[in-house]
Amino acid sequence: MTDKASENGMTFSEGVQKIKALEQVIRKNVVGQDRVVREMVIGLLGAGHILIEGIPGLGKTLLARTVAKAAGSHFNRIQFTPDLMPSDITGHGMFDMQDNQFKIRKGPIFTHFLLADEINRAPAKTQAALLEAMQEQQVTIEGKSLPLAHPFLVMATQNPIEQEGTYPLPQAQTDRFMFKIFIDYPDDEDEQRIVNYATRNSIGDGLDSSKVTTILTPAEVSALQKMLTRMTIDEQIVAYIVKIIRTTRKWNGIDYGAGPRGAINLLRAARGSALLNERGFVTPDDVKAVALPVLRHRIKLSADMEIEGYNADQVLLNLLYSVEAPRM
Amino acid sequence: MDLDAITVAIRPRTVWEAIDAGFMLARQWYWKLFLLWLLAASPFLLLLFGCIFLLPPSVVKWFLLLFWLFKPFYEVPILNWISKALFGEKARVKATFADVKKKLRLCTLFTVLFTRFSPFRSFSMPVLHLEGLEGSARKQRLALLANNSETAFFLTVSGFFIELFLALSLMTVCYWLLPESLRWVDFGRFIFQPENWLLLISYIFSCALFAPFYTCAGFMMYISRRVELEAWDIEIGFKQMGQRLVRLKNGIIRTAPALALLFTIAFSGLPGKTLAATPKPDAARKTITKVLAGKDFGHKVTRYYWVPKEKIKTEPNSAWMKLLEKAFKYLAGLFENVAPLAANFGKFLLWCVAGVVIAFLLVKYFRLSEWLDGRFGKRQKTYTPPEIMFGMDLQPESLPEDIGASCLALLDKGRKREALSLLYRGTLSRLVNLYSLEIHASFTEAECCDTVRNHRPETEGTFFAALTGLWVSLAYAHRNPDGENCRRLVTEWDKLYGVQA
Repeated sequence: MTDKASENGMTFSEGVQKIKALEQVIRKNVVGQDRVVREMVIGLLGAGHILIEGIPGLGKTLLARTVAKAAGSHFNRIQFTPDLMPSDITGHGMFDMQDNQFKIRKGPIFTHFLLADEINRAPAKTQAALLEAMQEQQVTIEGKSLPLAHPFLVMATQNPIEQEGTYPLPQAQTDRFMFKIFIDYPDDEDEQRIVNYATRNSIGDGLDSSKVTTILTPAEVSALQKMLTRMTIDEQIVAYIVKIIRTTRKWNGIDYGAGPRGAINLLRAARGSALLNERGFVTPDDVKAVALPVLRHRIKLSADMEIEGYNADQVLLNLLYSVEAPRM
Repeated sequence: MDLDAITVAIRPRTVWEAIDAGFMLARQWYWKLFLLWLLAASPFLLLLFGCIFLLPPSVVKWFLLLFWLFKPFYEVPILNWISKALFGEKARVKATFADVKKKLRLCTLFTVLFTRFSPFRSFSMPVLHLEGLEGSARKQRLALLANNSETAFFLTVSGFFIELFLALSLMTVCYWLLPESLRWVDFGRFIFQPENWLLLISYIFSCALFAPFYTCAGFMMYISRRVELEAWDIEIGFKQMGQRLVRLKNGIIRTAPALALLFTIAFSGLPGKTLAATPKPDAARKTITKVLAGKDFGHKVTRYYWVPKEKIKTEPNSAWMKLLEKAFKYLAGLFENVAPLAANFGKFLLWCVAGVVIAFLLVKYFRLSEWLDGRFGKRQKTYTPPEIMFGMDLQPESLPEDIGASCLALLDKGRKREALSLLYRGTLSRLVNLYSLEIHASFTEAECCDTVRNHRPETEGTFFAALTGLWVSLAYAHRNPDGENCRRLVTEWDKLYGVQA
């Protein structure tokens, strides 16, 4: 990939600078979650949707708001509840008495960044409506297809505890998320910083994302996403990705491995990682760096492994350790 | 020691029977012995628990060690009490401790402490404490008695595991009894965390539970050995026999006048010899004839029975039969002589078969572990340099003798890719074969760089990072490297790994 300006007038080095700045800004506001921030930025670059798993109070909403603000994009949040209907997300047609005709009222899905909070609390048909829109990048209301905004990124959250009364996402639907990110407690020092930051000159307990500097515009986000498509991808890298994916299918301890969509998403994510590492080409290191968040929700561990207390990450690490890295 | 008052049957016992008898004794007076152990250990426990409250929690493990070290001292009162109770003397607790105090001198204290490291402690403690022997006399005595020391060893090992099992069981019960909401640690951490008070208390309690059994079993082994050597059973047998004879003699003396009177009365009432009628010879003859002619005499009755005929032994009548007989007899004799040899040979064969079976199982085990490692991707414990990695032959024989010169020759011809490939391959070969650097086939370029940086000098780390950077750019970005950079790397390589290095 050369340093020529793209159709949006952004060169590779400008793109790298912009994305680095974006990451910095987000990190400044979301303290102690550097790995999560990096994965979010890669998700944004790869135009993939993100499933975040973590207990409440770790800054998932803040993260989504900050990313949206820094990327100069519009943000909406939906709290998923058992009585949430598909039309509450997508919108619906309503009869206007004055004009004597049906008008479409667009739902919160018409935004750049959508935070689907506790997605597993809504019933399957509501989940399906969102996931379908994610896949198709458009919504049909009253027989009329309406395209979604571009860029469009869904960040869905799940709570790993309190599983009562939830509707766990089926494997087929989690597959539509590019990443599954685990958000964990920050360390001691970072937690002190968060407490200070959240309580200084603040009445409530929430962190303010309004002061976040806007780094990109939606058009620039699209330009960066397009920039990734022009990256140099060696055939060995593709072969390496396919080898990893195929190994998940025959690995002892995994009942179901990842499908071709897993391979596609792994490459998309690896490109994002390469850009963040200021490279115009993908290396096996980029692939390995994003393999866990891309694959952890695409495999199903066997009952034996689950009983023995293994999790998907441990199995995937072993798997990656056994797959030969390419050299030419 | 009054053998007459002994509370167990004295007879020669095997060591296992002696241990059984010891356990029976412990069961008989269990709570008393348990109390003695606790009383003996309590000053020590109170003192050290007090210290621990004042000191940091990390001392728990040292406390555990000290407690373990002083264990023989808690068993001495048990031994003292049981040695008296066996011969019918039920000593009071206070008297037992007074006796222990009297017997324990400074040098004995050290010897008792030293027995902590002996796996035969249960057996040697009675010799030390009850016989009061020291130095070479004790050694000689132990050498004489200790023909069953391996059993004492097994008893100690079993005791160790029983105590451990009891302690862990108590811990497990405590864990299970915890409400679910309070289980803030998992089971492993609950048991094996370093500063674990509960484990310490459980271990002390399990030691207290098992100590009476252990001490009594050792004591009975000692008694059993003495019975065997000193023939206590025979002594007791003779004593009992003597007592019986004395009783008999005393009985006769006491009953003699009465018997005499009885005989007198009895014999005085008998008719005199003159009263018997003496038959005449003729009359007697007639009577005899009459009796002989009677029904029971003078009759002949013939009865027939079936009697099996004896087989007629036939001598071998032909020469070849005789020869055959001789041959069989010779063969039988031969087998009798050869049998021990054949037995030894069979034994040898058996050992060979056992060796083959063990070797077969070992091979199977290693293959299985390799298979499992392959399946689950576990790290190999030992690293053997691979011959081929990343599709590149890393054997030193496969590389040119002077890699630097070969690279330069390729660069001169403009074959940069091949030159860089050779340099990268040569570096990896040197790292894995010469310095045994653990590089696996799944390592990416950055992981290889990290490994070199972490395990080799800084200069090598820097060189390898530069080489990898150039290599990655060539391999994945399809960019031709700068010739000057390549030459610089070759010079650097020569310094680090080349012929002059």
